[in-house]
Amino acid sequence: MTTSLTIQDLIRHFEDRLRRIDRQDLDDTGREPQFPQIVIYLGGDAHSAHQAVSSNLLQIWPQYQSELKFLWVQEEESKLSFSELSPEGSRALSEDGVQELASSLFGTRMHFRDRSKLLVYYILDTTAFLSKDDLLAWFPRMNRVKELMCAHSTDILDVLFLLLNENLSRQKTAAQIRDHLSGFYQGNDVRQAVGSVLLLSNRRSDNAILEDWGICYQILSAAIVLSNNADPRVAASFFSGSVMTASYAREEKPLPQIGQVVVKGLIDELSKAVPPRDIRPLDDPRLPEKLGVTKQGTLALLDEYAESCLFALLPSEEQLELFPRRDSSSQTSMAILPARAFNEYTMGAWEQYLGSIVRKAQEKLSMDSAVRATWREAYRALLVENFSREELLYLAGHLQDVEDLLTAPKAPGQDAPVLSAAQEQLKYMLSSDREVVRIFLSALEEQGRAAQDFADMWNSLLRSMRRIHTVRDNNIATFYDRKVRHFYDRCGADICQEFADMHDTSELAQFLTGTLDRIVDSDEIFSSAFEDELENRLNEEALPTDAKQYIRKKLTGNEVFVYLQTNFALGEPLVSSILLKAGTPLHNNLYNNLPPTTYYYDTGSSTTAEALVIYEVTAENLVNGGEL
Amino acid sequence: MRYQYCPNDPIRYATNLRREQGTRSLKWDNARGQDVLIVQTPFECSAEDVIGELCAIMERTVLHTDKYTEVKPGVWVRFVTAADKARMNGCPINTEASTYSVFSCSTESGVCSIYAPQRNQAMISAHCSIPMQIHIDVQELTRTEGLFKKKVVRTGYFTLSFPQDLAGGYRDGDLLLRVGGLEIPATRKMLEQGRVYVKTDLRPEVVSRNKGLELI
Repeated sequence: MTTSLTIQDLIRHFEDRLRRIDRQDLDDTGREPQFPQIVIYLGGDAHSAHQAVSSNLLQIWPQYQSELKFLWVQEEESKLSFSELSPEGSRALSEDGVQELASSLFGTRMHFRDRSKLLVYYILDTTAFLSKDDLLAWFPRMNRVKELMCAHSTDILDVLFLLLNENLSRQKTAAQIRDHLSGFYQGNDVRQAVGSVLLLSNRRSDNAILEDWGICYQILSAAIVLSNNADPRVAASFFSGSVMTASYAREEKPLPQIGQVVVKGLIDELSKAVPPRDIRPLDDPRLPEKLGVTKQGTLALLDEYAESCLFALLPSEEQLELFPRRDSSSQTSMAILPARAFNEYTMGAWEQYLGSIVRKAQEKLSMDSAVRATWREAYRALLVENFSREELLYLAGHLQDVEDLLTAPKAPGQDAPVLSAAQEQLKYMLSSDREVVRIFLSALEEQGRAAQDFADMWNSLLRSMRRIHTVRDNNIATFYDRKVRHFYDRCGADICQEFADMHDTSELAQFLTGTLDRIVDSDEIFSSAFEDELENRLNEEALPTDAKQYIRKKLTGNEVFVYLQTNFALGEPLVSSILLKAGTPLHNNLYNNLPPTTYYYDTGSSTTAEALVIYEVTAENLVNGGEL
Repeated sequence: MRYQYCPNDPIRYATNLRREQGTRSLKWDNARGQDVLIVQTPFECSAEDVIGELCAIMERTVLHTDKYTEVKPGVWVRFVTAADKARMNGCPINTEASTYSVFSCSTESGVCSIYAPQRNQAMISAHCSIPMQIHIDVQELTRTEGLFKKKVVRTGYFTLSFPQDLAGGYRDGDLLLRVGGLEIPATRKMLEQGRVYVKTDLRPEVVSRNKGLELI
């Protein structure tokens, strides 16, 4: 059976491997969440955020895998239903269950430093809303959830991440929602239900309309990370009772593109090791030898069995005298007679006797599955040692020819003394038996099937390459092509040989991922921080660019957009933050060049830097003239 | 001639094979004017298990018309037309200690169709097993010595004497000679020879591996 393996799987493995390396520095894991927290997805559309949000949070706080809680709230037939979402899947909860979940966040096994507050992050997506009423319907539900979180006895700080779909077809509803949100500052039902609102629209400040919420999921993940903070200035900004929005920029190591170049390079190199199709092992004069056939045409494995088990069943020289004979006149010892003469003198009894030895061996073999399995395995080992996958595939497709070759031993001469001729005769009889030889043919069939499965898996892998786009950044492609080429110059021959010797599909995935790991280990560029990687890459191409300056520009320059269109300019930011690994040259560079009010959050990850700026949105900027 | 094995055809039945009491003749019931194929196999071995293989062998074998032909070791066949059956009042058996089967058959345009017998017949069958009782005489070979040849001395040989009529349908190895810790298969050639010699001081023992061959 073939399990599928795609280029995408390998690229994903490569990315994961680089991320794991990035997190290997156990002494510097970055900051950790200060307070217990729970992310609550409100409704079906919001639930789509879970994969991205949970994965983003766990990349920054991997040690909190079992402590970060995610709850999905839906309304079904006018009743609220709850599910806890975890890496193991979704688990339905009763209202009591929700309370248990909230309680567990304050348990002694949790590692949150400050248990004085519970941070609640609601995520609500307006895409399916038909009017603002759909929004309003959620506020009593949020209040119910808050009650379950024991709001009366727990200090809850909550924020609603509202994903506002402002597509042209949804403008009317979006305008109603914005207008309604403008009442937040007068203490309307929104204000009653939640402490703050972070409003993220799919209509950016540069008029671009996002096709999906991917970037907004990254923004709200960064906002969660930033807000669950021991620094009161930052936390207070998020929970200060206002409607907010954000600008966001992200620069990261282009792991998917690097992965693609490296994986494609590996596959291309291995493809060269696949021999041409016009392979014809049947024409090889060494074929019998490679199939384990001796010069006498017998199978070496069967000869060994005959020698170890059947020769002992031959009669002794004295016992030969007991064989029935034509007359009583002979005075010569039977042992010195040639085999043919002895057989004639005993009226064929000798040949029948040898036949009975072989028959008993056959009967024993037919009942002894362990011996058959041992032979099959030994022969399989011989086949994989002597033949390539392609040759085995060919031979398995020409089984009759192979069977004819395996069952055509040369009849031994009958002129040698009877007992020595008998040994050759037993080997001959055993190897002539098609039933016995079938054991070995079945091993060939099995290897043929394995070779076919392997070829299918490999071809499917090659086909999956057509489904990925070419890496457009020539700099990345050229730089990493060179790295991969350098690796193959050193290790390519060994790797191709290992690939050629492989016969089992289960080994292929392991081999490919293992080789990718070797490539990663072969050059420190793969484990370097992303600004170093960028600098190396640009230097290699002799591009006169300061990588840190380049990244700073990307994070804070004119091309950083706010995820909401407003009528008037937004005021001074509530928080201006950079999320990155602290202590790196990039951190120092930004620290020296950005305004001193910028807040730096240590993520512990050197593959990414994010810039998140939070703005308050005043009522005037929310009103959009929607029809009520 | 090409031979093919076909499913049962009730119109061309041939069944109720039996040995006529006190004779060496086989009888059976068949559809009017139906030709048959008699197959002799080792005792209690089914001819139906090998009939497909026999069809292929018969194509390349010259078959006798008036006696059994051995088509593979231990398996003999004989075609009997309706006229032969009437003339011989059945068909003589080849040898005993065997199982016989009757198959109806018909020949058309160089193809001989052999029909499978009807199954699940409670009282009658297309098969008939014929056991045999035989006696093999084992004697110590002696000779006389002395002035008046009165002193009997052992020669160191035993003789085994086989019944003359057994060799025809005998299959090598149906009888075994146990001597000095060996089990030596008796061959058809030994039976044809009638008397064979075994150089031993201990009396050889003959045992049967064929359930249809009872030693007395």
